[in-house]
Amino acid sequence: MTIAPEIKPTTGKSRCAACLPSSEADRRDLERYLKENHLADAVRFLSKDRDDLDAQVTARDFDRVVFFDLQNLLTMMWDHELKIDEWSASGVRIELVRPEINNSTDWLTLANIVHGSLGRWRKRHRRRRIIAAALLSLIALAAIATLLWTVPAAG
Amino acid sequence: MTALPLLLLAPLLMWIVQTVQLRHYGLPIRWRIDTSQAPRSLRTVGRVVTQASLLAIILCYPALRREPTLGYYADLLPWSRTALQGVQGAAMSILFLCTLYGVWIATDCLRVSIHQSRRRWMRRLLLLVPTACFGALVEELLFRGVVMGDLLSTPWIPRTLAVGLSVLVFAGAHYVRNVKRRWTMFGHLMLGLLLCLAYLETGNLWLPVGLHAGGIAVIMGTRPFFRYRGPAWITGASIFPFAGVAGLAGLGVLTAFVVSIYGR
Repeated sequence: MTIAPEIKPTTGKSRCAACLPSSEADRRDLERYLKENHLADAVRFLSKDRDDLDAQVTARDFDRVVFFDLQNLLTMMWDHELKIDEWSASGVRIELVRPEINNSTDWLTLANIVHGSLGRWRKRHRRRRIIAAALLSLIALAAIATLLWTVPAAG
Repeated sequence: MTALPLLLLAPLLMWIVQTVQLRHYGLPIRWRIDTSQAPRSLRTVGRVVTQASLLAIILCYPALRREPTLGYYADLLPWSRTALQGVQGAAMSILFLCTLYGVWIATDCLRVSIHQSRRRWMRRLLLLVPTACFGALVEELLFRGVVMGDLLSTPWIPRTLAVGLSVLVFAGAHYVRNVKRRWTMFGHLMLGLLLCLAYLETGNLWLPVGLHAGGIAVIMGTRPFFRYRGPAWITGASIFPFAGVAGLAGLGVLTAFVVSIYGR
């Protein structure tokens, strides 16, 4: 077995992670999938621990991550908890228990495009918000200063 | 009581001019003042007639009271330290609207997005101060200086009723034309109350003109850069940020503040 140089060698701990969906039924399906694919020892992550999952994947602790469906994967992306570009660069394999699109290349490409586009949109949106908030704050401060200076004078 | 009948002549004149123009273009008569889906010139003439009739009322009213026009308005806008109330009014409404917009931006109810050409928004910003001052001055001279002043000087009308009627006339006047949204009426009622009480408490027009001009300046100045995402019942919409629940509450606080600071 060849291991990519940047991927840490196995140290007994499973190199597969599974992101648990919130619904019980979906969780059962995920457990069944893990068992059928000999991944029963995968490290489970609750949705509240998704930031830990991202940190550990980025640190190359896992080379395989299982999500229940595309919605679970995208939710992590919307919440800024998944850097799919970094995951892809480090060769992490992403699997879906219930892929809405059967061809894994299709949904992975789609997820990468969406992630890139979302990142650019967020950056632009954030910059505009910061500029607007800064300008409004300056105007509001000027208004406060005007009030403080003129209220005693007008009587 | 001469101001209200005089004011009613304005929509009548506007409707007559609109009807004549519609007939000229061979279009059916509209019972409302409504220039939608009509030739551009009809809208332009409509605006000119509106402004001209409002200015005519402002100029004619003191003459009907047998008072010199300049003297009448000079009493309402005394050139003394009291004029600083105009600056304070503008600062108060600017502070109120900036706070409101800041909250909407932070909560993503307002999206920052330029939706006008650079030339158009530059022109708008360059003309912002004169437009806001002129618009506020005309409206205040008319609704507070003429209408409210007239109602307050009518002996058989109690002060509370005079204020109530002035608020209704001010709000109603913004809906004489056919408008996109009518639910913003509550915002205009609350704004009318603020401006009427500002006039009542100070006895001059500086504070209401300042409050009004500051509001127009912020709303018109930010309009090309903001898109409302709602919900409209909380944030208001388009040029009516004061018409949502938060805006109404803010206007209520501003009104209480004005009454407590300037109350005589």
